[in-house]
Amino acid sequence: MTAATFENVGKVYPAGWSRRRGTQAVNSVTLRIPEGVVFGLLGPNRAGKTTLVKLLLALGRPTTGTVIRLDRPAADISTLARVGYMHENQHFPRYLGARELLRFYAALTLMKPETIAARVNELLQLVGLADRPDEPISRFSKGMIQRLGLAQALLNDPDLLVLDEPTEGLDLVGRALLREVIAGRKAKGKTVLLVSHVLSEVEQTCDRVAVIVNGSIVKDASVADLVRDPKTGGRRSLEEALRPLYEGARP
Amino acid sequence: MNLPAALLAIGWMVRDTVRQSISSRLFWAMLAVSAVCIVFCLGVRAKDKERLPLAPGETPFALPKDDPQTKALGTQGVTSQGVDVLGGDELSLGFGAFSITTNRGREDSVRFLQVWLAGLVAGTAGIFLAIIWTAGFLPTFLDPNHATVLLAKPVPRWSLLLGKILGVLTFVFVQTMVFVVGTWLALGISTGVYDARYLFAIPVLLLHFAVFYSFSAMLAVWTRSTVVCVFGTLLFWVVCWGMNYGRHAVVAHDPVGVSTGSRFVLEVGYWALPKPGDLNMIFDDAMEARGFSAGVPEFDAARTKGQVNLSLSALASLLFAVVIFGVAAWELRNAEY
Repeated sequence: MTAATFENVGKVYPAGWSRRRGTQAVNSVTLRIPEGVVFGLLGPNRAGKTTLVKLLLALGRPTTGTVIRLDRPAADISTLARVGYMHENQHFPRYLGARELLRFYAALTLMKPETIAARVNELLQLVGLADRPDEPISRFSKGMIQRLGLAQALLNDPDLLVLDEPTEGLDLVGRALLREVIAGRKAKGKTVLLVSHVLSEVEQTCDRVAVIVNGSIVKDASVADLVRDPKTGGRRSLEEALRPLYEGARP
Repeated sequence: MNLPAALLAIGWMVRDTVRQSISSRLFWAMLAVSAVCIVFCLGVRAKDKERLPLAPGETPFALPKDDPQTKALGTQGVTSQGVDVLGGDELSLGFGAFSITTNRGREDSVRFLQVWLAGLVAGTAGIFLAIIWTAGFLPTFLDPNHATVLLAKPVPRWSLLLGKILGVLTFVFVQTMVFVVGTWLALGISTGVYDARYLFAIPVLLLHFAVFYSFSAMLAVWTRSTVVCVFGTLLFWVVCWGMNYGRHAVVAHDPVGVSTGSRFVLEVGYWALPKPGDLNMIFDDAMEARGFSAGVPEFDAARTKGQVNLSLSALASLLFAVVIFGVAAWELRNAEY
């Protein structure tokens, strides 16, 4: 079973007035994200990671190929009720408090109204915002907003959790919390797609990674395989393993 | 399409937008303007001069104060013959601070103030402010850093946009209600005149705002820029006024040298675009305001020629708003984030 499948996916962003010229963001990507794993998506800047996430969440449409999310075409938004998404640089309405925001987003995730209040309190506790539930978000630090973002992504206990650069702005405690959350998802048999530049986080949390460079998948392997040095058979860091793959990436 | 999900999203977006409005300083600024106008109305006093008694069914008859006959006979001389003399009615403002003598009755004096309040304060300054202030709502909402998480929820995109738009319209409706009902009650309390026709300003003002906000919403979806929304909508307002005036002017004056093709284009433009001038005429008609405010001569002439249909004009403006909101929703449905 797969949580997500990209089948020969290409994406061109139109550019210029005529929109005839374009930028090829991803090119013939075929990738399967199995259910119940923590899957890392790695690659240098402008490699096409975020484009793949957007295609997976139906925020954009592929130019070629097909994207399947939770066994349904990505364009079918009903399966988004089983997806949680944490954006890399999210802005929330500054006039709301954390509790109110979570109630609002829970409703839009089509959660049963009677379950919302308890779930919101549970998540505020989990991410360490239970002591400031009604304070306006305008007073929140970047780290607090990231924690709130994590809470909103977990509202519906998602089968597929998509984390796009989730450690941005998080302190050590926040990062430990994130690792704990990811481990918890895995223990429940849920899928996590983690897009990150922080290789140490990926190494610690992911079961499998795909590496995308210049819009194409250049490696799809388990973390254990990647960190095994093919020459010596010993262990190497993920950074060492990825360095040769990143060569030739778009500047 | 999942209709219950869409309705739920609309409800939550309306609620969120109203919250957003209340948190804005301009919300309170607009309420303060309404409060000032209400206090102004509470300070109005209008008094009719004592009239000659009328027998049941008798038609009142009066002469202006400066009429040669009045001058020749004197006021007492005229009234002794059973004919009233106009003038001597009193209108005071600022709780009696300023007083003027008019030859309008009490009811006409109040109606004059109401036309001024709805036409100039709410109809021009109010709508202008509301367009500027609400222009930023949608671009902020549609900014990728704000919108991507919401757009990744299992609800149709059009429902998010519709909810936001209805939220803005709800807020403008509330502000309009506070202003119109507040000033109506205040004038009623201070003068004893409760002219219900004034309340007709509420739907007219809301329709007036909605047609221009629809254009702002379309610009927001296309450009996600507050600056473009503000200036684009104001420019559009001017264009619509120009088209409305130009069409009626051509009909009124029937100028030589305007080809049939040009007239056809003008007619199509007039019917396709919102008609702010016609909307004002609808309110003026309801208030029978012709006695107090000079109408635009071209508009009056076009009407005399039977070339203005105000009901159809309002309907066409409403249709414009609905179609443009639909175009904006379609654009958002297809937008890539």
